[in-house]
Amino acid sequence: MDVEARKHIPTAGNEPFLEGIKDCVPTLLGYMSIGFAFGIVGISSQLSIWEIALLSIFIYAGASQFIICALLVTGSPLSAIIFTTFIVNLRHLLLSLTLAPHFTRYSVKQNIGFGLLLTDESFGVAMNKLAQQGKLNNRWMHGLNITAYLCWIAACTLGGIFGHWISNPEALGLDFALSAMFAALLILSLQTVPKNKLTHRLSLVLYMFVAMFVLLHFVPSHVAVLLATVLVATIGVVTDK
Amino acid sequence: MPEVVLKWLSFIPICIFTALIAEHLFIHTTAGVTIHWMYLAVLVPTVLIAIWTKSLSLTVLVGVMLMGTARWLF
Repeated sequence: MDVEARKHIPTAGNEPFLEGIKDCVPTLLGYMSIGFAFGIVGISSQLSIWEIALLSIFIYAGASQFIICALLVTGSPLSAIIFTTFIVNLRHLLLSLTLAPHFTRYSVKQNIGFGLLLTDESFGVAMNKLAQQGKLNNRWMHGLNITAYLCWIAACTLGGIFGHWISNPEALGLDFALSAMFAALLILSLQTVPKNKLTHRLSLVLYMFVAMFVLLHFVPSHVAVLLATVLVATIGVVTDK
Repeated sequence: MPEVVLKWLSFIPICIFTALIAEHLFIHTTAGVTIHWMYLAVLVPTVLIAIWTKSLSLTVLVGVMLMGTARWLF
């Protein structure tokens, strides 16, 4: 397979870094639309443009950034936000573990670089490249990662500037953007579930609504979110065949 | 990492997303915890749009417009 793969290596000249940038381009529209939406949602969550930019620089994770906004709005303590973000991002551990064997010939510092800027999309593009070429190049990976990272920061900041420019976000329904985003992410996640497991996952969604409804009578909302999630995820493991 | 833990982690996203939606759907009033009907009324078509278009940006756009319209009407 290796010999055949090498015959078909596509190149953008001889510079892998530039090729990494080029391979990132198809995913940029996705990054930018979500990033822009995040900027707007950030504003309606009472964040400043600076805070939006810093979140996109330091967190660099779409779903988590939205979740952080939601938790901030309900006044969750920092520990809860950090813990929730950690759990939600834990899947990156799996993505990195999958890619790591293909970068063993590079230094630890380089690998840290690959891992820090890893996203679901860059993981997908890298796996695709791996299937085409049989191996991955460090400069290519950096080109891919850095392009996505810079676009993300720009999109979030622009969204923030735009959101700030609109004087009354609630009147336009902008505060609903967060919920609409979660609804979309939920549906998209459910659509990737194999058909025979779909009923099980839908039952978990139902249990979540029930758990939240009950818990909200007794505890503050950020506690309800954490408790319900841990509870229902556990039910999920126990009831899954 | 043990299989069970991986499985547990895989359920976290759908649980968290549902929780964050539920957080706005159920509101505290003097009568206790009730359903925010306007929110539900906008949420249902938003979910349908998400299923139909499979697009994050479109869903957010339509959802926001529906909420803006609902606020304006009521």
